[in-house]
Amino acid sequence: MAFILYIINYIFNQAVFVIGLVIIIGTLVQKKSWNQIISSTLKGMIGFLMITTGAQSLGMALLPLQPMLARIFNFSISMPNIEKAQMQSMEGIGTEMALIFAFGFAINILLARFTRFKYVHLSAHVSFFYAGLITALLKFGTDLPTIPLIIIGAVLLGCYMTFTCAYIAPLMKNVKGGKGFTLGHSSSIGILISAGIGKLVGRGSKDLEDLKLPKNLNFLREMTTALTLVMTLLFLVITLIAGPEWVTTHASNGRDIVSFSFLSGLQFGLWITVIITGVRMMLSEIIPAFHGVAEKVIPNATPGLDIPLLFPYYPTSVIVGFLMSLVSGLIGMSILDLIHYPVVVFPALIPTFFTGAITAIFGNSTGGRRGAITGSLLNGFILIFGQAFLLPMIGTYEPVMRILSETDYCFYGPLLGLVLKLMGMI
Amino acid sequence: MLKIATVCGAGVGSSMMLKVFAEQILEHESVDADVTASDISSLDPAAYDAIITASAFADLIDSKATRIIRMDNMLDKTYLREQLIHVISETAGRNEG
Repeated sequence: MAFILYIINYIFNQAVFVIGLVIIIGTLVQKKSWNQIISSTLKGMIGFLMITTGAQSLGMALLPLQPMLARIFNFSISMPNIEKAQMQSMEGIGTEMALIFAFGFAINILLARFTRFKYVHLSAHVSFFYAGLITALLKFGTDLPTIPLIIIGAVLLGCYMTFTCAYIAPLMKNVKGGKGFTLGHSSSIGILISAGIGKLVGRGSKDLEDLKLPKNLNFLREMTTALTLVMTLLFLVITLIAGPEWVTTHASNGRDIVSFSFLSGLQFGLWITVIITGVRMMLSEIIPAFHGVAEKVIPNATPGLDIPLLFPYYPTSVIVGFLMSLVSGLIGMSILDLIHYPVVVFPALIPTFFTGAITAIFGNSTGGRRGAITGSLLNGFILIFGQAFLLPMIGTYEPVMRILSETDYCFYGPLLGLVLKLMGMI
Repeated sequence: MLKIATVCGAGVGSSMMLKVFAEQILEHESVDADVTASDISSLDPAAYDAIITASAFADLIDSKATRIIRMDNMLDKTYLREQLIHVISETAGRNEG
């Protein structure tokens, strides 16, 4: 009995140990040798800690933006307490998140095995952070005890994984290189809307890919480079508007705006790199296990894969879509600031890149250039306004969602939060 | 021990996919290999015997020594198998010589 209590109190309440257990199971499924299991598990656990640490530090790197935006738009916001931002990222949701992640995949597999929806969602990085979103909404929006919370969360996640793969599947026939798989990705609602809008607005519009962008724009596909550049520019523009002298005295600890903006951009690139490296280390062992399980249990299922598989066929759409979603994100940010929305929101750049690119591809598939541009602009608006609704609902998960909230998070997240609120009133 | 890197922009999405495919093929051929998924920014091409990536990234990798397998269709396992078998026979030749 004492041993069981020890497990519950000291192992299961540490998210990183739960992640370790999930990886151990994953490596056992793959019949790895004991030395590989030890190394995978340790690397995966360190990866998980890199994600949480990176998210906290990134939140800190963005703090100077708040007083500057407040000054530009002339409103007073309560300054967040820095220690609080550091302490609380993902605090108190990690364990449930890890378990919902594992059981959600199991439910997705069961649905594929026993219903006519034969889709296996294989993008583990998507389901992992989506598990976090569901956990945060349930945890901070309801008084559910742990076990029912995990069960409800896993069912929600499993259904989400299955049905997003299912409604994207029929759209795959319109895109080059989309044979034999569907997309398992959190941009699904953006894709659906973009393909629909493309049909409406795109009559007679030319294919976006006939337009050839210069090859040297390819460097924008390099995450670290693109993010650092965009963030540096964003800081530069904001500091210029806020007033260089004011910034030097109030926000940048005496630095001039050029070096301050560049340093901030580099900081941003640094923490994003830490987070992404963490994701890679953590999932390096889990993803092959997912594939292994899926092939054993349901060999005839359609795999739901990640969106970059389509990017090589659509180099122009990728860049155009990213830029369009970024433009509408910045417009949305200005609108939110103008109406003095109580939470400061800025475009989450990784989601803007990936979901912008894929919505342009699908908008183009049904509606050519006009479809691609309309679709990816709309996607950017969903991202920014959805994030604004979502952030107050998710407690300590906020720093993670500021950087990773893709279209589905921004669309379904607030919806689920609203439903939970209404149920709470009954 | 063959060392292979799969590469994409962030090192999480398609590179992870290619890693799974490459591991399946290599296991099937019973070759002892270590496959790492990497992002393009932190890649050191010299550390690997071969690099598997999409064409857009292949143009960004500056390496004469390492063999780069360009995947235009990332799900084309047949092509990947051919290319990997090339790499295997080449490295085997090198190591014996």
